Amino acid sequence: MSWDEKLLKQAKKIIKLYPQKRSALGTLLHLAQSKDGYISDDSISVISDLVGITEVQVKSVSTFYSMYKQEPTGKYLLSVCKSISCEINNSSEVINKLQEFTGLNNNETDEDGLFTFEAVECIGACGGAPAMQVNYETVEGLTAENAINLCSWLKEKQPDIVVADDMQKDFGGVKSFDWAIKDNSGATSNAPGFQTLKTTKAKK
Amino acid sequence: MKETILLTKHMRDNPEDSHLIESYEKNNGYTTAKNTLLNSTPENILEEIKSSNIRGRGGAGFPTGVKWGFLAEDEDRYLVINADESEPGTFKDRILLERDPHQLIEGIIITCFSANIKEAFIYIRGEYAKPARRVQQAVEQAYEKGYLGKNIFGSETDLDIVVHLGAGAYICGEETALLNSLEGRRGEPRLKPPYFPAAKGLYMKPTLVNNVETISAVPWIIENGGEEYNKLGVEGSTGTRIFSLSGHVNNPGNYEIEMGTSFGEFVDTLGGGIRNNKKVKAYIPGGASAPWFRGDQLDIKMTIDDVANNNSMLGSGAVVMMDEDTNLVSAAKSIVSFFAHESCGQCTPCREGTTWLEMILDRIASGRGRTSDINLLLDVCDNISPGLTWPPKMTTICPLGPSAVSPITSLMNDFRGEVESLIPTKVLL
Amino acid sequence: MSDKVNLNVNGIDIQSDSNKLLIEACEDSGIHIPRFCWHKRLDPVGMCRMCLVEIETPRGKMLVPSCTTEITDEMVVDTESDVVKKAQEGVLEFLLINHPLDCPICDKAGECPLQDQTMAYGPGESRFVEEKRHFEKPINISEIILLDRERCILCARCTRFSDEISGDPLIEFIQRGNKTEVNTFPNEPFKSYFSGNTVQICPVGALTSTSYRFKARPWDLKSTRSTCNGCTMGCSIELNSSQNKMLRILGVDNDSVNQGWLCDKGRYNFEYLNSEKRLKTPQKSVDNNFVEIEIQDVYSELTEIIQDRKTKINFLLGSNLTNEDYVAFREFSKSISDSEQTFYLNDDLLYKGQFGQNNELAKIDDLNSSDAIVVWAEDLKEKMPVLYLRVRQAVKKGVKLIVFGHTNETLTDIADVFYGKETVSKNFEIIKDVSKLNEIKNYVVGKNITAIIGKSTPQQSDESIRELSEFLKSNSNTKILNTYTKGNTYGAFQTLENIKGTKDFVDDISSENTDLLFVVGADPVGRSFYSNEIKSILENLDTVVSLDIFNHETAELSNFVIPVSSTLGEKEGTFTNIEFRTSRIDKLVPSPGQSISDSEFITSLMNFAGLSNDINSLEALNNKAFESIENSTRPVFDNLDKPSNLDGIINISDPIITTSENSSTKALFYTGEKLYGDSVTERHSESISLLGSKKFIEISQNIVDKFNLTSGKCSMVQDDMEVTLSYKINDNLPDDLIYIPINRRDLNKFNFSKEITFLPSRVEEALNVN
Repeated sequence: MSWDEKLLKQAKKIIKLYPQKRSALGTLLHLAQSKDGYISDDSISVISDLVGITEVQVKSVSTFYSMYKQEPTGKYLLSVCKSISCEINNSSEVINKLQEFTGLNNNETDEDGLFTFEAVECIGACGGAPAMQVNYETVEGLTAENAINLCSWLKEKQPDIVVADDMQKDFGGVKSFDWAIKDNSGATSNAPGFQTLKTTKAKK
Repeated sequence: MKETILLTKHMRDNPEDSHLIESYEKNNGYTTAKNTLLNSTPENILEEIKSSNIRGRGGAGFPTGVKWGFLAEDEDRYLVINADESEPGTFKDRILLERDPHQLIEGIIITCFSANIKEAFIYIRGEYAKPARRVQQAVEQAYEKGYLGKNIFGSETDLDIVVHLGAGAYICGEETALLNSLEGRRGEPRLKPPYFPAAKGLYMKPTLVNNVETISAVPWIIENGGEEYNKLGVEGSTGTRIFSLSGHVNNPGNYEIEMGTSFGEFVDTLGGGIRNNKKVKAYIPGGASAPWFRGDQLDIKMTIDDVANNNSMLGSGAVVMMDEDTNLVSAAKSIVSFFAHESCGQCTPCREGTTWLEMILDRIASGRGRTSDINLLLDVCDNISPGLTWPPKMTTICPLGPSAVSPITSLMNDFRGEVESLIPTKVLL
Repeated sequence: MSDKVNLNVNGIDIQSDSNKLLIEACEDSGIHIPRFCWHKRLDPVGMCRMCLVEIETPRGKMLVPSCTTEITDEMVVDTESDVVKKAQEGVLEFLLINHPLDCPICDKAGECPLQDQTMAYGPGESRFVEEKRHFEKPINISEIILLDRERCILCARCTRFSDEISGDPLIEFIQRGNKTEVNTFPNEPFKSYFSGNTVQICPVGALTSTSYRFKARPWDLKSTRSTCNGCTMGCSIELNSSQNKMLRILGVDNDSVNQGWLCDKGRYNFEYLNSEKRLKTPQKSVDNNFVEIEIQDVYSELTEIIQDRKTKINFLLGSNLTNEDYVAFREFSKSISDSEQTFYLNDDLLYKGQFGQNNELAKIDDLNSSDAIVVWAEDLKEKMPVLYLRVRQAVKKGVKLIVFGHTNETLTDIADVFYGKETVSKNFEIIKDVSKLNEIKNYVVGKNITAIIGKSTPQQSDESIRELSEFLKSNSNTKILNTYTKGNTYGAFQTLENIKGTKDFVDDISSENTDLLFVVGADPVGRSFYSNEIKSILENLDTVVSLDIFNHETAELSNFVIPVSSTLGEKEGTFTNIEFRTSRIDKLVPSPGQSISDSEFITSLMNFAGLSNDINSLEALNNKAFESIENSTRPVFDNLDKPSNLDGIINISDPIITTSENSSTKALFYTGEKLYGDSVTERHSESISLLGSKKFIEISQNIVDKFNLTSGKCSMVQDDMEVTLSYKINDNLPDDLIYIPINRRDLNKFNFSKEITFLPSRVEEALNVN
């Protein structure tokens, strides 16, 4: 077992949230990804023990979902939307320019482990097309130029937490709707929203 | 035209802090749930929902009251909120989750009281990281206040809510696939019959699966009465609906309106018209799965039935406008690629067919098409959705495969020339 | 009882049981609907969509998969409409666009459902001009199974089998959509006792067996139906050969027994038949050397011994004989002496069992209809793998499973109740008052019980087993499935009059009472709890005659060694299984050299020696075997060959087993067997020879603590023998107990009645010095 005590404790807490152990699988995979940035074979073995299913069953589930990464990823996962609303609002230019800037093809990670690039399907930001996410934090109303500026900024500052509101303010444009609320929360890894789940109240 | 503000009222009135319980309560939040649990009966609530004639806001438009009524008796029953909003063009649940999570929680409390359910899950798509944080925070606040957990509001009612994140699979928006996913399995749709969630849902127990918007409307309906809700909109499409407008419009966004006006009026007023005063070439009336309408069909009314009668669907309420300069082959290819990417792979026609369609379209779009490709495209479509009718027949397990057919038939029915013009007629030797 | 419903298919009225699926109802009426994913023994998934048909609904005709549609009265179905045909053609085209065109080198070609259905229903040519999906060509997913993902059509038969039937889901869908593939976890092989079944049910050549790869074409195969004699389950099998070589064994769907499934040992332990090491000529030991001898000379030398009226003859018979072989030895003995002959079976676990009027005996099918199953026996998964599958099936249907003792720990994951070390001591005694156990009160008392009861280790006392049986019988409606696990043991029970085991052999036999010993199909010196004792007995006997297919340690101590044909595929006869179901053993290939069957040898000897007998054919032996059984159910060849009796005929017998009582011994270890071992046949079956090669023991946690074991290795020492092996910690073992699988190499060399010293690994000690 290569998960430390703290992580295992968290995992056991997660399992308790569900009526059946196996339901925790998805959340445990997010937990594994928050640790390594991807789903390692090692984590699969640990989770298989925790949930009581075989390793290949864990693998089967983890590879079904596109957000569970099968290879190590960079510090920042750049996901540019290419679905219909973004497509007709020139997302292909954003994609091309960002690939040029990062030197990465789809689903590739750079040598420094800074960026992983992917063109993805709809991220629910169609009103702010074209849009992208950095570690699942959304930036809307992009231009190719601003997307590059955003990545340059990430490269230069390398923030440990990426905050949607900050990125939107500096690099975004038209939004899907008024975000209104001032929000400083953000992502510390490509395991989305995970940090909050740990505080969930124990049931009953 | 104007919006009719019910579900988006609190967030508009309190833009700075609508997501917090203090703000929600200051505006009478949770009083409906409290009154319900202390003074009402499950039957009364069900009656109100039925009389509101609200239909599910996820896409299929099934009457919510009827759905609740189908729920089989069992000691363990579950409510699952489908917040896996992934239909291209749709971002309406995102705003409800992000900016008014307590309204949803209050709706869940009332729904569970009515259906005698003690455990609810909110299944949020993984890419909605920020909305998920807000909902999680709201759930925690509700627990702290004693609005969740044991003896809610001092009543006999217990309820737990678990916020669960998906991980990138559109198919999990299909309710049985969502249940599989929530059980820690591959998000593959189950066979219907026999696995109707109301009878055999989560853990094979009776389960209600409802959309975020549907349940967010519950507090308003109970507070104001089903009859009041029924007065809004038109028969068959009562109440308000949040439409996500995107594409080549001046003012994209979410708009809460009563159903019944025309798409044209909607786009011209609230949408601020098409950018640069261009004309509409085609538009999608209800998400990427829906067959397209032409630019000369903007007078179709925005109701479930009117759209259906014109051989498409209002679906998830996502309206995508495509102006006269749009390359419709690329647009169709984008949608077909989407469904190919999101096919779960269980059944043969969808797994193999959608990818094949994508390959053929890709060939045509890049100028490598053959004249036989047009018939091939249509025949492959026919092998996924026999007869190419609407509503679609299918050789597949679930409607995802036929969804990839919609843009192609739209293209072929109304814009065939655009496709043909991309196919080289002469082979240069 | 299910009701009948009427439906109309293609304009024809048919009737069917109401609980059937449409595809089954049609099939029963001779209307074939093409399919890939649907399999009678697996839950329907409706994935391949090949079986789409049209049914009439209030909203018009609807395409539905016939494999998931339950039939209803008055249903109107069209399986041949234009829409159906178009859909099926479409599905086939979809399946073929990514299917490689490597039929000419595919093992499945010629018996491939995809190939057959493409010919019958498919499009003539391909409209797919793109690049096909590529995967690395066949990868080994275990010692015995290869996976070619390009050929896979993702029907989920293998994954469902592993999940639903065998309960070891080690093969699964990976990725999704168009990228979906079937695979195992990296570096974790498809380590299942049942993996071969996935090869058999694979509708394409995606899963293949190493043992059959490139060996033959289906149209060159000869085949016959027979019965597996690997354990007492008696699974129905089909033997396949080409050019007189056995090449493959398939499971046959015998509804009451194996339902089409086989364990991998049953399926793959046949390559030894073709081994060069098979005995081919009779041999005689001359001055400690074996020399070839004519069979006539064997007969004449033995005749001399037999004709001395004072000669005392005994028999140690293995479990791989046919019923007819057993009868031949019985008749031989009768023709020599009027006194009652005792036959010793080569079985360390033989004990009296629960037979006779006071016991109602169970059939395998009773498992499904009981309220609960109680197990206290040898490890079912290791010793009777397909019975284990039937127990799993019953449990899946809701039958409760109550398991006693650490010997059946492989059942713990499906057991409702497992009475482990707190209830069953390391001496194999139940140390609690069974009547006071809560679960027994809930699940057993007053209920219909099938009790799988047998001796789990030679050290177990007969009394402890009897006590549990008696409790069950007096507190519930219990049917007993006496569980002896070795080969045709029940055939011996049915045909021999007086039976004892190896323990009694050791107690009884000496040169005082035995001049001539026939050891038939048995290697007790090589592989028995009592190896050492038996070895010294044999060394002191005047004449030992061994009949077997290979040379082995017992044969080496014999005066004559006779090569015989194997019961698997080389002779005809009958076999009787655990529920006294008798079915056919058939011959498909010739036996090597001068091999003859056991019964041929012994009847020839009788003829040579002029002993009176009326056996002039195998049929005569077959008739003699079942003389006492009434005509209608008598399992003679004529009867068994009737189509309605192919699955066998049950005749419950009351065997006379006269083993002496064995009282529990207090030892620090107990012995058992794993499925795979180091037997002579396994060693000569290349595909599986490595599966049972690992030496190990299982030990309780407190032994680990006591010896401070860390290296994973330890040693067992006796006299001048030392065996180094690995240990596994088994939490279900009572304290201070070691489990020794004696069918593994070297482990049977110990004398289990003497002290064995257990040591932490020498290697580890050496390391500890520094």
